[in-house]
Amino acid sequence: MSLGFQKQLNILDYGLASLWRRKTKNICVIIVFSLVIFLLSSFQFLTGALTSVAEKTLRFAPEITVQRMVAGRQEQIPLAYVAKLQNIFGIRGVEPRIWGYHFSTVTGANITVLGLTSFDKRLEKSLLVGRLPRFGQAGEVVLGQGVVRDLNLQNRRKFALFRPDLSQKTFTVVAEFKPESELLTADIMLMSMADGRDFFNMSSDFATDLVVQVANPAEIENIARKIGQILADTRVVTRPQIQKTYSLVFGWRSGFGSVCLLTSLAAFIILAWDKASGMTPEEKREIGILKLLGWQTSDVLAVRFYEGFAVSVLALVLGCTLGYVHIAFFEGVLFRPLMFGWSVLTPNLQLSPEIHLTDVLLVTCFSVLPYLVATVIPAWRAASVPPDSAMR
Amino acid sequence: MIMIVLKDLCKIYNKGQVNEVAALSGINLQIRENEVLCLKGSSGSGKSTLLAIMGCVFPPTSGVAEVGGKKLSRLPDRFLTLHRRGLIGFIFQQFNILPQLTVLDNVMVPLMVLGYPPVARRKKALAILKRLGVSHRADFPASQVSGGELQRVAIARALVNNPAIILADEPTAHLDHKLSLSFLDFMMELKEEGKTIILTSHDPLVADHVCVDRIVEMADGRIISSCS
Ligand SMILES: Nc1ncnc2c1ncn2[C@@H]1O[C@H](COP(=O)(O)OP(=O)(O)O)[C@@H](O)[C@H]1O
Ligand SMILES: [Mg+2]
Repeated sequence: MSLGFQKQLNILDYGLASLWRRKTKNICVIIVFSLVIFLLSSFQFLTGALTSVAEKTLRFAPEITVQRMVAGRQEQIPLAYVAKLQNIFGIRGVEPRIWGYHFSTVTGANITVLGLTSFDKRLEKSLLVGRLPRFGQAGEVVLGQGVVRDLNLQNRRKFALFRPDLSQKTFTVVAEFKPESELLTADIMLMSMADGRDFFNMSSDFATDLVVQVANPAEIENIARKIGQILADTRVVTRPQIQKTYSLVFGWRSGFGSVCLLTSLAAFIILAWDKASGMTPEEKREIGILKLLGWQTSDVLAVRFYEGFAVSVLALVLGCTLGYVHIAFFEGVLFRPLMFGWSVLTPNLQLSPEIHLTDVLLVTCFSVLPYLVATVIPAWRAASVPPDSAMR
Repeated sequence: MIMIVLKDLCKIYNKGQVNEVAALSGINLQIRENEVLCLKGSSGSGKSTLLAIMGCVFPPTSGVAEVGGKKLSRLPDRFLTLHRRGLIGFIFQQFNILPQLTVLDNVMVPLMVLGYPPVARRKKALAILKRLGVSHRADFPASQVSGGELQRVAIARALVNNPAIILADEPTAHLDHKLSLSFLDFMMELKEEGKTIILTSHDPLVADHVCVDRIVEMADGRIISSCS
C-alpha cells in the first residue's frame, strides 16, 4: 500500500474517531439534516411520480378535440360536422363523443360521464380491471375509484342514478379503473354512447364534441389549424396542449413547494454555517497542535472534509430512503393537501416513484455540498495561518 | 557539525500594521549538533519566537535561518511543515496534549501523517510510552492523567518520530522541583543519544543543570550574553 494512501486512511480514521467522540451532537445534526433531505427528496419523488402518472394517462387522451362554441360557451355539436372533416388530408377518423358532468344530490358525488368511443378501446389493457361495456348491452359502465367510493358501492355491481327529468336509469359495473391512474380517472364513469345519450336526454343528431384521430402525430397542430378554418364556430384542442396545461399545473405547484423547501433548507444551511464557522477555541487549538506536529493544512482540511462527508452522506441516504418510503408506501401523505388541492374527489392513488439520478443529484447539490462548504471553509481559515498561537 | 545557523535574524509580528511588534532583531547564533542550549530571559524577551523560527513554525522576517541544513527564509508553509515533521520534536509549557484523545492516540498523532499503518504506529507509540514509564496510562483519556504523567506523554509525543532536534519551551514551568529534576535527567539521557536540545526557561534549576552546554540570555529581542 502506498504511503499517501495509508496517510489518507489514517486521516479518515482520525476524522471518524473525532466524529464518534462528539456523537450526541453529531447525531442531532444528522437527524435534523435527514429531515430536511427527507422533505426535499419526498417532494422531488412525488412530483416525479405524479408527472409520470399524468403523462401515462394522458397518452390516451384524444389527439384532437373539436368543440362547438356559441357565445363563448360550449354547446352540443351537430353530427353533420363529421362529414365536413372527412376530406381533410391526414385525418384517420372522426368520432362524436358524449360526455358531461353529473352531480348526485343523494350521495354528493361529482361524476364525469364519458360515452365510449372506438378510440377508448385502447384503454382496456392498461388502465382497467375488467372489460369495456359491450355494444348493445344497455347500462354497462366502467367506474373510477373515486366514484366507487362516493356511491358507496363496495361489492355491489348494480346501482341507479337520476336522469335530468328525474327518471331513474340503472347501471351495471363491468370494470374499474386501476388505482394507479386515479389522479386522472378518479371521477370518471365510462359507458356506451347510447347510454350516455340516454342518461343526458340528448338528441341523436348531436354529440358533446368530436374527437379526431390523426395519421401522423407530427401533423397534429397542422390539422388542428385546418379544422379551425373549416369549422369557424369551433374551438380545437390538441393533446400536446392538454399535456402542457397539466405540466404547467404540476410545475407551478412543485415550483411553489420547492420554494418553501428551499427556504427551510436555507435556514438549515445558515444554521450549519453558524455552527461550523463559530469554531470554538478548542477546535482552533486542535488545528494548531495538529499543524505543529507536522500535519499539513490539507491534512487538517481532509479531516474536516471526511467528517462533513460522513455526516452528510449518512443524512442523504437516510433522508432519501425515508422520502422514498414516504411516497411509495405512504402515498406521500404529508404533501397530499399541496398536490391534490385542485381535485374534487380526493384521489387515493398508489404512486411508484422512480428514482431519477437527476433528482438525487439535485438533492445532493442542495444539501451535501453546502454542508461540506460550511464545515471545510472555517477550518481552512483557521489552518492556513502559522500555528504559533498553539505554542503559547 | 552545525545544526542551526541564525544570521542577522529579525522577526516582526503584524508588519506594517498599527500593532506591529519587533520580537527579534539582529540575532546571530550557531548551534552544534548534540549541543544542549538554554535560552534565558524575562517574559516577552523573544524566547518563544526564536524557538518557533528554529522549529520551522514560520520563517523569519529578515536574515538567515538554516535548520538541519535547509534555509527557511521565504519557504512556504507547506515545505516548513514537511521539514519540521521529520526533524523536530516540540515540548510545550502547557504540554499541548489534545484532551479529548487517549494518551496513546496523542502520541500517535505525528505518525499518522507519516503514513504509518495502525499496527505499526501503535507499536512505536507504546514503545516510547513504556520508555517514559507511562505505558499503563496508554488507554486513559488525556484529560484524566496527572500533570507529571502528562509531561511524559508530551515528551513521548515529541520523540515518537525520532527527531534530531528537541525544542522545549518553558518545560519546567508547570512542574515541581522533583519532576523538574527528573525531566532534566531525561534530557541528559537524550543528549547522550546524540540529540540537539534547545530549552527556554527562567528557572535557574534548568540553567544550572549539568546537561546544559551553553546559556544564552535574551532581552528585548536581542542576545545580551552567551556563556558555556
Ligand atoms: N503572534 C504574535 N503577534 C503579535 N505579537 C506577538 C506574537 N507573539 C509574540 N508577540 C510579541 O513578541 C514579543 C516576544 O514574545 P515571546 O517570543 O513570546 O517572548 P517570551 O517567550 O520570551 O516571553 C512580545 O512582546 C510578544 O508580545
Ligand atoms: Mg514564551
